[in-house]
Amino acid sequence: MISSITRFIKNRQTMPVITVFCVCVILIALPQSVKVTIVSFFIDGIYYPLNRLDIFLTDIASARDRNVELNRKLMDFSIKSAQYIEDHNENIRLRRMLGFDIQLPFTLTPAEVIGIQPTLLSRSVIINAGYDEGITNMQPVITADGVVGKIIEVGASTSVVQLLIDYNCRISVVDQYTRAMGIVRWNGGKLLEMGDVPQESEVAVGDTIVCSGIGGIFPPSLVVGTVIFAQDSPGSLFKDIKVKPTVNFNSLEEVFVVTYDR
Amino acid sequence: MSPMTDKLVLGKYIAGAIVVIFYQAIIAPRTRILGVEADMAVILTIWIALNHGLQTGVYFGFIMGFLTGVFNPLNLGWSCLLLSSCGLITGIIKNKLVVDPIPVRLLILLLVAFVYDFVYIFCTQMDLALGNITYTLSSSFFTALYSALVGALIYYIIKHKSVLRNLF
Repeated sequence: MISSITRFIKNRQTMPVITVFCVCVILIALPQSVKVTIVSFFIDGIYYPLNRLDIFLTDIASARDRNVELNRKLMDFSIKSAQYIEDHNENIRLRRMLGFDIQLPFTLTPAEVIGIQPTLLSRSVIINAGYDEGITNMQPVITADGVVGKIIEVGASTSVVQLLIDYNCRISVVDQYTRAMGIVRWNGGKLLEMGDVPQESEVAVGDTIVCSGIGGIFPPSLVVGTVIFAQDSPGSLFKDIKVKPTVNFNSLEEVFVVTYDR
Repeated sequence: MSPMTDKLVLGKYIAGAIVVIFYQAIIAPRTRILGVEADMAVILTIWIALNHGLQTGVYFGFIMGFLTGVFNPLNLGWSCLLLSSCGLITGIIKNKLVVDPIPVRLLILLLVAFVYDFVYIFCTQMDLALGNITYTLSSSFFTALYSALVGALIYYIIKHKSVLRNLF
């Protein structure tokens, strides 16, 4: 027995292989923040330049189409902006009349996506902002289109963002029209599920789903998605509702980290 | 190993690293089919282990696991451990079986890639794997199938390019 163990240890092939597996186990056991710091060196040095090159090439190819699209959006927003200012002022007046406090504003820290999770099921991205930029855990991350996710790990100059389409991400939401509340989560596939919505609610296809603000992470009224399927579920207390996220998670480039001004 | 062989293996490590980095950063997002990507790190690790044996397979798997883990730092150690294990298992298979026929190699690639992907999801997201076992199995199978097809394509290209054939 002892001689066979000695032979195993003395085998020239065995020890380096065992060493490799020991290193793997150490890597698994390292704290998450240390792992993020280790990989940030590789991301800054190798992946970031490649990623920038990729985005640059894509931008050149699609510049003309994007210009047309942005001009169209600018027109839309110019018209909506005038209406929004009117509504906003009216809202402030009415809130003051009712004695409601003005809601806390928040500031946005811009960041670029420098690494994208490659696997099918675990959904996170790495952004080039960390605690040097004032980022902390559990801060919401958004784009102009809506909610992207939240910060789950922070390194010195990089952070990991858990996307809305991660199995472990849940957001308290509300239907913008019917005010029916629920919990949005991803459970496989391309769509999100909006759960815990009672059968009596009148959520309908086309409704916009926004954050409710409950939970304290995501500010209220941030757009999450649009209802594309809503049906009573026989034998259940709750409706079966599918939501299409407004954010295109396949083409995330620039995002904003939300910081509450307290 | 002779110094010449050392240089050859080192060259393969570097070439493999460049291929994986380039593939993961540029090509993989553009070649998804129904959300499934071919796993280049697994393809190369198994290929190297089949050609050079257990020890080289383990080293190569570790390097590929680290480079893949950089994209997903939370699971950094798991990708190293599981890809090293892929190299180890494939090396053991190479020692026990005749693995020269290409269909046998592709079958080994399919099986090992399937087990790797399934175990990876299981180790890193146990809740998801247990709650959606059918989804996990099917996604692992399609990833392995896609990887095997890409492996076959790579072999076809190598077979018809004498320079590349000599390199690999």
